Parts: sequence; C-alpha cells; structure tokens
Amino acid sequence: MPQDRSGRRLTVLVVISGFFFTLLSSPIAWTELKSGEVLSQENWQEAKGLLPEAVLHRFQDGNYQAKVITLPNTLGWGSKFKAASETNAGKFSIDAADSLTDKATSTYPTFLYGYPFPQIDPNDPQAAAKVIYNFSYTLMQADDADRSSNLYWVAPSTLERHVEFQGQLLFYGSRFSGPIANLDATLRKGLIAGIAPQEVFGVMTLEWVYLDPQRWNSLWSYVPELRRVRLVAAANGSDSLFGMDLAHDDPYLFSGKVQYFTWKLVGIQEALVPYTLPNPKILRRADKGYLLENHQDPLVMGWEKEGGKGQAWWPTNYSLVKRPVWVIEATAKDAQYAYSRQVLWIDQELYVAYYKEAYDRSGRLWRMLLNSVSVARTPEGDLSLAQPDFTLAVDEQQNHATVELPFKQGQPLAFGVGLSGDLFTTAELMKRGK
Amino acid sequence: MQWISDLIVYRSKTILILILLLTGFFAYHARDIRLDSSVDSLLPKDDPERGYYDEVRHLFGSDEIGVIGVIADNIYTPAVLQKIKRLTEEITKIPEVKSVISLTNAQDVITSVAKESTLLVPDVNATHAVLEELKHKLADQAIYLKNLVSADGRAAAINIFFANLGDDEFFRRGVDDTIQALVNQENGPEKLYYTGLPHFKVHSTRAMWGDLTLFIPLTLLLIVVALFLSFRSLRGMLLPTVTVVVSLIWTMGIMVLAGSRLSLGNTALPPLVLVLGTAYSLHIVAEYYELAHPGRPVNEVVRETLQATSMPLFIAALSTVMGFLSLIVNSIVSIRELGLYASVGISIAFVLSLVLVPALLALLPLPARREEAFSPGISAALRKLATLSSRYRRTVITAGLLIVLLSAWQGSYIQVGSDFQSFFRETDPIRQATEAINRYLVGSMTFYVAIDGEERDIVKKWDTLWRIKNLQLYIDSLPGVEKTISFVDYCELLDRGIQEIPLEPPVGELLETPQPEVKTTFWENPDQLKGVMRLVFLNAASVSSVVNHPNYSRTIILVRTSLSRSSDIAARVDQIEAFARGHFPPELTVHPTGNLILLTRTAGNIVSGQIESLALTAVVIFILMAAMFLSARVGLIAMAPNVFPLFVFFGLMGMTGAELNFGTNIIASIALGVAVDDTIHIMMRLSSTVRTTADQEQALLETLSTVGKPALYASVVLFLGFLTLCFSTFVPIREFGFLSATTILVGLVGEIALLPALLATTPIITLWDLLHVKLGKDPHKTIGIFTNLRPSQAKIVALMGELKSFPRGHAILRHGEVSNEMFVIISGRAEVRVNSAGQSRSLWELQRGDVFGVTSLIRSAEGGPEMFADVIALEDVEVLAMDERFRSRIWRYPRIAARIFFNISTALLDRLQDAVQRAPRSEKDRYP
Repeated sequence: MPQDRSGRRLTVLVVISGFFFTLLSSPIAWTELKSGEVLSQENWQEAKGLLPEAVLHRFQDGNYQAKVITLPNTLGWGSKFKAASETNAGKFSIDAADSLTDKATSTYPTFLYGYPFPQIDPNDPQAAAKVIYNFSYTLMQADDADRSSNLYWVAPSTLERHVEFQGQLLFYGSRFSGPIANLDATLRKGLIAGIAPQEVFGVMTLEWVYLDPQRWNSLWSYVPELRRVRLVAAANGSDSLFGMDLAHDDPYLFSGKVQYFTWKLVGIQEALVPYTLPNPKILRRADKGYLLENHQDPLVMGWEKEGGKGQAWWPTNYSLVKRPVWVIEATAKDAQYAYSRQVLWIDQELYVAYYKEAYDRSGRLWRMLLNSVSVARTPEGDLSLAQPDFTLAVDEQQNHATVELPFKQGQPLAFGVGLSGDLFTTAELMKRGK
Repeated sequence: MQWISDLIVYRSKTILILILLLTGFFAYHARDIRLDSSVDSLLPKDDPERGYYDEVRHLFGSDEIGVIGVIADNIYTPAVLQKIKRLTEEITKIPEVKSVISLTNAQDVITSVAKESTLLVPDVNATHAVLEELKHKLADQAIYLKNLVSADGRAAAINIFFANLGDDEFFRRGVDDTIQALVNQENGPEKLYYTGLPHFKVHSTRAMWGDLTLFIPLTLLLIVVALFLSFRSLRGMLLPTVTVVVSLIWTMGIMVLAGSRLSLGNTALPPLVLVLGTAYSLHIVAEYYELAHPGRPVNEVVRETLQATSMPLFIAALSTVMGFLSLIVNSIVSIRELGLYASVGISIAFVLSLVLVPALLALLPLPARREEAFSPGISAALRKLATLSSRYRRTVITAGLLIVLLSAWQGSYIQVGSDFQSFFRETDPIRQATEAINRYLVGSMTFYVAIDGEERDIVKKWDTLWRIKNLQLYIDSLPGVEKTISFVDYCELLDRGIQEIPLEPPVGELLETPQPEVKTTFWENPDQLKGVMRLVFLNAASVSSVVNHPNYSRTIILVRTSLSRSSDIAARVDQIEAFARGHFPPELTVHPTGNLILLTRTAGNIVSGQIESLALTAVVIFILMAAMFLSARVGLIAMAPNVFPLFVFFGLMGMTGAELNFGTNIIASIALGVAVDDTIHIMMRLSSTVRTTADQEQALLETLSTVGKPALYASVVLFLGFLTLCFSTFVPIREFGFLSATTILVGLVGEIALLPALLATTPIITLWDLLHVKLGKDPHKTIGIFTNLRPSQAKIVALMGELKSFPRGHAILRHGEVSNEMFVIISGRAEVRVNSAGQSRSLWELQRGDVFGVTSLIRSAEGGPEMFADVIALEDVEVLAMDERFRSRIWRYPRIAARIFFNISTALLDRLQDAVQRAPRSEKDRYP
C-alpha cells in the first residue's frame, strides 16, 4: 500500500533528522586560546566562561575583538605596599554591618596602608567583603593624584560628545608617605574641575569621604551661573553623572560605601581580563612627585578609525590576558539604589577590578562596565599605584556607552605632588571656579 | 479518491489512534497558548511610522505611564498628602517601577536653583497656612498643574514610570496587582483611581482570559444543544462536537509552535473555529442519516456518505478558507493572524470531518431510525418556503433588491474608528478610572510630538526654542488637549530659578556676585540662555525624557489628551502638522507619534483593509462559483444570496451607529466565506437532483428539503456561536458577535428564500459532474450528433441524458417493447438482430457514434413506438440514452439544443436519403 511506503519514508526521515540533531547538539571541544591569537567573531567560543556573558556576546556579534597576550613581567605592587600588607595580617576584621574594624581599637582604622586582608580564605563567609576592602585600599597607594579625565559619550557607530575634567585627590586614611594631620577625619578629599567644553568650564565639585563609615560623604558644587558654592544633598550613589552611562559609584568600577551592600562570593576562576601594554608602567620622577605618561602606542578607539567594523566605543588595539579572579556580588541594602545587584570580577592577586555587571531594580542587566588597569611603579620599585587607563560603561538596554580615557597627548598624570589640604576647601572651590 | 474512502472506512481504528496521538501532541503544546495584550498587535506590521515611534520611545522612554488619581475635597491637607506620600514611597519600592512622581516627591525646580535643593512639599504635615501658600505657588507654576495636581486642588496624580520589561514580563511579575492592592488599601475616604496604558493592558489580558474561559464552554454548550435539537441522537450530537474540539486543540497547538499568540484582535478565534468547524461534520452526519437505511452495511453507508459530501464540503471549506485568507492582505497584525489561523482551523475541521467522523461512524452500528423521522416539520417548512419563493420569485427578488438599496443607503452612514477607551463598557472600573482622571486632572492618553534636527545642539538655540514654544502654545489651544510638557518648560523653570537667586546668600553659603537688579527671561535676553543650558547639561538626567542629551538635536513635546476617538486624534495630528509646515524651517521636522497615533492610523487601514479583503474574497468566490458551475451567470446568481447579507450588515451598522473598527472590520469577509458554504451545498445538490427530474421547481423543493436542513442547522449553530461573543468584556468583540450573528441569520434567509427564487429557472451543472462524464477521445469528431459542439458542450448533452452500460450479450432493446429513448453508442459494439421465421439474424453492426431509436425520442410524447428488432451488445457497451426529459432539459442550453437537434435532423436526413437510394427495399431495411 502507498501508505506503508510513506510510513517507511517517514521513519527513515525521523532517524536521519535525529542523527543530525544529535550531531549538531553535541558539545564541540573548542581549543584553548593561545597568546598572540585574536579573540573575535570567529573563535569567540574559546572564551566561554572566561568573560562576562555581555562582553562575550559582543565578541560573538563581531563588535569587539582583542589580542590575547601574556604579560612580559610578573605583575605586583611596590615593596612598601607589599610589606605593609604583610604586616596587616590579622589586624583587621569586618563587623556585622560590613564595616572595616581595627581589632586593636574596635573601631574604624584611622590609617591603613596595604591590603587590610592579605590572606583571604574563599570559604570565609566574609571573603567577598574582604576582597572589596582590599580593592579599595589598592586604589590609595600614592599620597595624592593630579590627573585629567576625558569622558566620551559614544553611540554604537559615532562619538557624540566629549568633556574634560581635571581631578585632584588627596589621600588621608591611606598614603605612601605615612599619616598626616587629618582634622576632618577623612579618608580622602577630591576636587574636580570642568575644563571643556563651555557647558562644564568653571564647574567645580568638592567631595570629602570620611573615615567613619556611618558618615555620608560631603559634596559641594560651584556653578558660575548660581554664583555660589552650595552643599549638594546626599546623592544616591547610583545616580547618573551628567547624563552619562556612569553612576557616582562607578569610577574604578566601585567607589561606593562597602557597608551599604550585602556581599557574596560567587566564585574564583580564570578570566580573560583587559590590559594595555606595556605593563607594569614606569612612574617618571619629576620636580614634584612622579609622572605617568601615555605610551607612544596608545589606545586607538573605534570612533577614531574610519570604516571600522566594531563598536565605536571599543579600542581597535586592545589586549586580553588570562588572570585569576574573584567574582563577588554586591546587593544594595537600599531598595532605591538603581543597581539591584552588581557582580564584580576582581584580580585575585592585585585586587583591581576588571568587570562589573550592574543589574537594574527589575533584575535585568543594565550596564556592563570594563576597567583596564595599569600597574605603575617607580624605577626603585617602592611606590606603586593602580591607574585605570580605559574605563568603559555600556548601557546594554540602550546600546550606548561612556568611555573614560585619562590620558591625553602631552598631558601626563601626576602623583605624589604634595597637594595641600588647603586646596580642598569651599573657598578654594569658588576661587578656582571664577 | 475511492481509496481514501476505503482507507478511512477499513482502517478506522488506525486512523483514530493516529488522530489521538496527534491530538495529544498538539494539546501538549496548546497548553502554552499565551495572550498578547499589547496594542502592537493592533498596529500595522512593518509600518515605518511604528519604527519611528520605537526609535523615539527608545530615545526618550516609553509614553506608557501608570496614573493614580486621588480625588478629595481638598488635596492640601496633611491626611491626603500623607496618603499620597505613602503611596509614592510604597510604589517606588516595587523593583519594576523605574520612578514615581507625585506632589510629595517632585522637586521644586525654581527653589532648588535659586536657594537650595528642595521638594515641592517638603513637609506633608505642614500647617494650613503653609499648604495654602503651596497651593498659590503651584497655581503660578503651570508645569505642575494637571500633571501633579488639579487647579482647584481637588485632585492629585501619582505618575508611575515602569522599567522597560515587555508586556508579558510585566504581567507575570504581578506589578499591576501590587499597585492595585496598594490603591485598594489606601482607598477611602478619598476616591482613588488607577489607570494608564500598562494597567489597561493587564486589565485587557485578564478580560481576554475571562472571555476565553467563558466563550469556549458556552459556545460548546450551544453547539451541543443545537446539534441535539437537530439530530436528537447521541452520535449526531457528539461526533461534530468532538471534531471541533479536536480541531481547536490542533489549531492552538499550531499557533504555539509557530510562536503566535491570541491577542485583542483575535480573541474570537477559538469560538470562531468551534462554530465554523461544526458545519462540516454536521453535513457529514446529516448525509449519513439520509443514507442510513436499516439493514444496509455500515461501511457502504459511510463510503457513500463520504462520496456524496466530500466535494461540496471541499468547495465550501475552500471558499470559507479563501474568505479568511483574504484577511492576510490586512496590514493589522492580529487581523492577519486571525485570517491565517482561522483558515488553519477550518482546514483542520474540514479534514477531521472527512476523516474522524467517518472513522468513528464506521465503528458504530447503523442507527435504528433515520434522521428524516426526526424533523419532518423542518423539511415540510423548507419545501413550503421553496415553493413560495419559486412561485413568487419576482416579488422575492424585488423585495431583496429593495432591502439591498435600503441597506446601501444606511451603510453610507457607517463611521470608521478605533476608540481605545471604548474597548470596555462604561461601567467597567478601568473606563470609570480613566474618565475620572480625564475629568479631574489631565488626559490619561498621551502622545509625543517629536522635533528632529540633524545638527548637534540645534535644540539649544534660542530660535529653535522659540519655535517649539509657539508650537506648544498652539497644541495647548487645540480642543481635547489637556496638557503639554516640553524641554522649553524645563528651561523656563531653570531660567526663573537663576533669576530668583536671592541677593543675600543663605547662612553658611558664599555668594560671589550680587543679583542683577532687573529680572528678565531668556526670551527677552537671549544671553541668559547660556547659563540655562549649562544647568541643563549638569542635570542631564532630569531632561533625558524630553531631549536627546548629549547631542541636543532632537526633542519632544509630551501631549496629554482626553481624546481617544481616532478621527479626533487624526484631526489634531493634521492641525499640528499643518502648523509645523508653516512655522518650522526644513532642517527641523515635526513628527507626532505614539501608540495613540498609530492606532489612529489603524482606522485608515481598516477601511482599506475592508475594501481589499472584501473585494478579494468576492472575486475569489465568484471565480470559484463560476468555474464550479461553468457559467459566469450562475456565478453571479450564486453570489447574490451571499452579497445580500453583507448589504444588510453594512446597513445595520449604519443604522445602529456601530463603528467599523478592528473587530467589525472582519465580519463581512467572514460572512461572505461562511454564507457561500450553504450556497455551494444547495447548488451542488440541485445540480445532481435536477438531472433526475425535468422539473426545476421540483428539484429545488427536493434539494431544500434535504440539504437545506443541515444548512439550517449549521446556520443556527453559527448564529448561536457568534451570539456567545456578545458576552465579551470587550465592546468591539461584543459588536462583532452581535453583527456576525445577525449577518448569519440574514444569510440564511438569503439561502432559503432568495436563492430558490433566483434558481427557479436557471439550469446548473457542476464542473465536478462534467469531469465525471467520459465520452472518449474527441467526441465532437467521432460521434455524429456532437458535430460542431465543443467537448464540454458534448458533456453537457451527456449530462442532460443518461449514460447507460450494458455487458456483452445483454439486450439494449428488445423486439416488441415500447421505447421512448434514443441511443448513441459511446463505446463498444452492438448488433441489430431480427427474428424471422423463428430464426434470429444480424442485420448490421453498430459502433461508436451510431444512433438508434431516433423516432422513439421524437415520438416519445405519444408513448413511443414498438421496437421491431433486438439490439444486443457484442461487447461491453456504453450508450447515451435520451428521452422526453432530455428533450426538455436540453433546452436550458438553447444553443446546444439547437445544434443537437440540427445534428439529429441531419442524421435522419442522411438515413432518409439512404433509404430512398435503397428503395424498394424489404422490411428488414427499416430502422429499428
């Protein structure tokens, strides 16, 4: 009967389809990435599990590509920071509110140089909080910093706008040359001045971050049109800065208050993390302090390259290196905080942050941040510092990005220049804003 | 096709198992059928306007805002403000809520710039005097009025902005329920109303589920009742029901597998498949009862049932499917999907009616009684109606024409529109909430007027701002526009704040320069704009919903309106565009957009979609009918009873004021497809009946008393099925149900009253009949009486007569018998034999094309002559027999008749000449 033949044909078809389906659905053993290879749309599978999903998708889509490298030198901090870290072992703890505590005084440390927790046991329930404190103190290795910051608004294919700021930081609670008088009990003070374009020129902000974890930062601003310095109300750390894809707490990937979050260790793993060569970089001694200059072969951004295929916000000459990382998660205790959850990928040895996945309050991925950090050292090797040389914040929902590039041609970054506390006052703010 | 019938009848168990397995498969998937409450499904697909709106929404955020209205005697009291604050704070905590703006958390922009960052209502427990002052302050700041509080201070609004979740996720997470619960909790003594598009969607989804859970069982119940009343037997009731339920399961399963959903525009699909699908199995069961004489073998009855019904059912299903498929030309997504899946469902119902029903019937014993015994009254009534229609055909046709004219006149008053708010009844809570908020506060419907420039920072220019301001003032002046908000409003607030910076600095603050003596605005002093723009830049997050920071090349005006009728919205859009053409330079384009406007465009698509799909359906059905009945004239006649209900439908719409909207838009196409089913059944049966009787009226009576009954039952099922939709929560669906049911009823009247009147004198033959007639190769060349006829005309002649077969050795005619038939040999050989002196001898041989018995045909009216010889088949012979009935029937085709009788005359003349040449001859030379 013809129906019998049809039935047999159907069976054969089903068997063949099943075979191909099985074949297609079998996991394919991808080869491991080797140094010198370029990670791109062709071989993105090789980076599965080594990158946050949102970053990996960009490689998969052909929007990103980067060269996989091996760093020529062993990375590590300066001798003083290392030694201080070792002596810190066992001196600090974290209290129930996730605040850093000096065991000797049972209160917050007034001065701390080096990692507060040089050894972290992954099984320690407070491991994640300890990782983030180590990260925080890694950023305060110099005495002060005087550096520029260039911020770019970038659409997928074009550069939209650029602003330039000059930032000065004075560290009190952690500094290379040891403690100084700290009458205001601050951890650090920062001054940011708008340079260009006209909309930001003359705009100044001053921020004091206090040692006391319970005390909210003080923030003053000067806007020429308002003709006065004003104390700005305590802002939500997740508020956007100047309509950028960066929030107040996003510089260095995390600049918030540790105790305002609940911390959890997600895991430890190998990761492909961003680095720009050369690394480590050398701090050049100047009349005052040290200078860090942009390398002669700087990053070339996508928007600078005519007819480039990738995203405009991605560097065309970028590198990835395999590093061991902590993956930790921060959940905001404040329901109003715009990021319900932040997942940070932090170097296991250097405690610099490479990636942050920031989720909105409804639980969807909102921003994917990436930070490329240079290890900078004096030729003597005593002073070191962590200097971000490329920060990228991509709004995954709007497909828009903000890029921060501190370096500008002929504009070195200065550290340890001996900034005075007198600079970080409201009077100085108005004086400089005029 | 015989083998298919055999397969169904003899492999019924295998077929049933297969159907069961497939049903299980589709049922498994059908469980996941989802409802899409988004208005997207009501919008045209691939519409550039929709793409533009998506782009604007992506840039400035969604215009879908939830609004809670708080109505009280006086909003400016601590108790009411506390309530607003509580609600604001609680709603802000909901993770899916992006932001909430109300009187209690809104920034006082002017004071924030001029003095210190502060809220409009810093303290909800403030004294009466402070609150009175606040009232006066707000009255002075128009941007807050209506948006946050009414001018009379009796109503306040809490505006809720949501994270861009997608409708499904929004529904699944229960965001709307949480807000509704908070509103319910705080309700009283103040009146609280909750509305807005997101709430509307959730409400719609719930209503759709409610409708579906009501429609499906109710429709099934009505089908079961109608079937029971029709057949009064368990099998007559259950078999069609099982068939349509299985059809619906398969259809829903296919929808899920194809990634489609039920939406606002196609909620009627399940009941539609149920009622339309019933008609096919109903005809099968009706035919089965016709043939199920007691004592007959079951398999034979089922096979005959299939043979008798498969072709008319196929044509009927095809025409209905065509009717629905014509909706695919409609640009509105949900209507296209309705057309597609209704076609799928009907096709499945048709196939299952021809497979599942016979397979089940084959396993059951024949019923003890025939269906005929159950409804003699209906048969008699139909017969009576057909008699009257036929007898008073002119009166019936004239009455039909008058009704058509009257309907056409009323139809000219039809209004086209899509009123989003009127989806729900006036008593529905969401409608009441929307109307209350529209009345006390601000229009709950919104749209954007986008202003696009290519050049960066063009929006920051004084000139551009001035044009936007004028446009905004113009929009504000339009009727139905309650409020507009723009980037200019924000700039003006900042400007005013700068101007109000006090001369003396607050304690602890430093003031650089004294306040200028003369206060101006940036309109008067454009230099001030630089400072305003700096503040804008520094507070970019506050303006991102109205201007595209950091480019400042595009901006929007948010328009809040109480209008919802598409014609009103379209008029405002035209006015805005006309104003913009006269006041904006080419480098700035003004483009109104938003869901409301896209829905308005849908109204335009409704008219074009209606015309296109109706024209397509009508043309396809006409071609089908004309081809089926081999005549354009018959095609037109067949269209008449189907077009008739459409005129009545449009007339009813014009008369009742029902709008032609996305719901009622599809009725005409559906009605046309459905009504034509009955026409096909009636005409096909008539074509076969009329060949067995010379009397057209008699044939009509017989046809209507048989096939008219299932047509009546089917119409009753359809009528009741559509009537269930009147229970819908949605007004358009209810209108659809009522009008569809009425149209079906009118269609039935057309079939049983108008069609008999039109067919009373019209001969019909179906293509199917013609294809079945086999006259061998080139009959017009090889058979003398078909000379100068086309092969198809020869077949018509054959259909007017009767093809008879005689096995070898059998007698076609016997000596001495009286015959009134003339015969033409179509195939085989025969011989003419006479008996002479007790011996039989052959006179001559007859072969293909030979004619005998001509005098019998001519003298048939006198009873026919007596045969003088035998005509015996020498091999298997097929002859075309023509008698007195042939003589009268063939005159329905006058040209063919004339040719046939000419050919017969020619044959007679030839023989006469031959006879004359042979004379004198003996008796044996006479023709038989």
